[in-house]
Amino acid sequence: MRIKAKKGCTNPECVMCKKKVHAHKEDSFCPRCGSNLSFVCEKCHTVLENGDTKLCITCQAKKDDADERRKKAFGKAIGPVAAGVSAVVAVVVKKK
Amino acid sequence: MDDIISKNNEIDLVDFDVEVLSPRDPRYAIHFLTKSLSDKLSEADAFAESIYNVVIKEASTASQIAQSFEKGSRFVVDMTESTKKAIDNGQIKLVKEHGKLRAQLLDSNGHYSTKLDIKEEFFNKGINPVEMANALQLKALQEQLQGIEEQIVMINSSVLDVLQGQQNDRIALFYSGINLYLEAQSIKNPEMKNALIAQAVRALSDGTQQLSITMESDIEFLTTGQYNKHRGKKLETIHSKMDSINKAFGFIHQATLARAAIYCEQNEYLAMANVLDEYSRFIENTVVNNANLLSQCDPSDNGTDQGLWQSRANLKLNASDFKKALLSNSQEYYLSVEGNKNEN
Ligand SMILES: [Zn+2]
Ligand SMILES: [Zn+2]
Repeated sequence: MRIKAKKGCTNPECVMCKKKVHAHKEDSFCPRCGSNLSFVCEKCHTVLENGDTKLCITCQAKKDDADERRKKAFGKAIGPVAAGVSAVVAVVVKKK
Repeated sequence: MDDIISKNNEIDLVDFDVEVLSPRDPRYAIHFLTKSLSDKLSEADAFAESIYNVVIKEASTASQIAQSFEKGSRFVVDMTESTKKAIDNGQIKLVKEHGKLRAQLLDSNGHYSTKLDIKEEFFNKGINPVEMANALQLKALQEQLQGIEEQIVMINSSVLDVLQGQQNDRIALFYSGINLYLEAQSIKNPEMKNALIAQAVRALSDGTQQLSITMESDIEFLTTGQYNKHRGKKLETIHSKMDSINKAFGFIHQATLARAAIYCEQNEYLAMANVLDEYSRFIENTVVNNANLLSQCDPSDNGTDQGLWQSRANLKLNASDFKKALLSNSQEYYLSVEGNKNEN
């Protein structure tokens, strides 16, 4: 599986962990404290067991929910306009 | 009693008396277990001292042995001779034979005295010598037991927050178990008393069973990504499952401690070891295998070794070693006194 996750230091004493700084993909150890790096959630820095996702389950769910809300809101706003457009198209077709 | 149930989440194992703590207090179960364990260990100490006194009084070689020891002397029970301490205070070998407990005094020349039958009459307390031997066995395993206890106290601190102020119908069996056991304490008729105790244990184990099933299916819901069907409400769905998992874990923990405590009070140490062993296997199967997933779903966790779920997963109860030691059902114990001997 392709590695999508960022790496990060998870030593609670380390600044890299406290500030949730992402490490270099090729690195295996934290440049600050030397701890083993782990895959971490890009947003909240929660440890991820494997690197096949960018986000942890919680952050992914948050993102999906937000997308869903946006889609719905967009749907409501765009709905009448889209209907109008197709009406215009229909008229154009008729004229031909 | 409400002020005891108050804000303070810290476990203060010394200051609490389980008799004044309400069973609805989340700290009840841990106090129940630690108290019954320490009661049994001090009982074993008292047995050790009485046995020591009786054997020294009866044995013919008694003259060679220091007859008195100061307060603060410690009785040490070992299950093998090889670990025996310096024996300048005399060491006693106890042997369980045909349901009897026999003692031999080992003198400073390394000779054993003739066997002395430890009889109930010696102790004018009506204590069965075999029961005494069982308590001594527990004492011989004291260190292992303390290791288990420490781990349990650590898990406990992680469940207290969840359990504070919970009035969940799923935990009815836990309260009913505790209440049945408390009720049994006031009953004199031994058959009725035992029946109630059996019911109490049953309620606690049924409760544990039910909640384990719930917890496993909640975890499966998360591992199989079933929350993805709840479009627009994924986070809410995940959090409500996590809440349910946390509560279930907390009460499984409580019910386990209570059941172990009851067995301990009833001198059923092997049954107690079984309960603890079952608990450690439960942690192995549900928590250890899913720790990272659970930490990703738990808003209060960051997935590190210090995080809630990983730290639960890292616990090593070693209850199976304790159980094995009990099962070995050693027939021999070595009793000696350490420290504060009279020096003149
Ligand atoms: Zn670091
Ligand atoms: Zn995250």
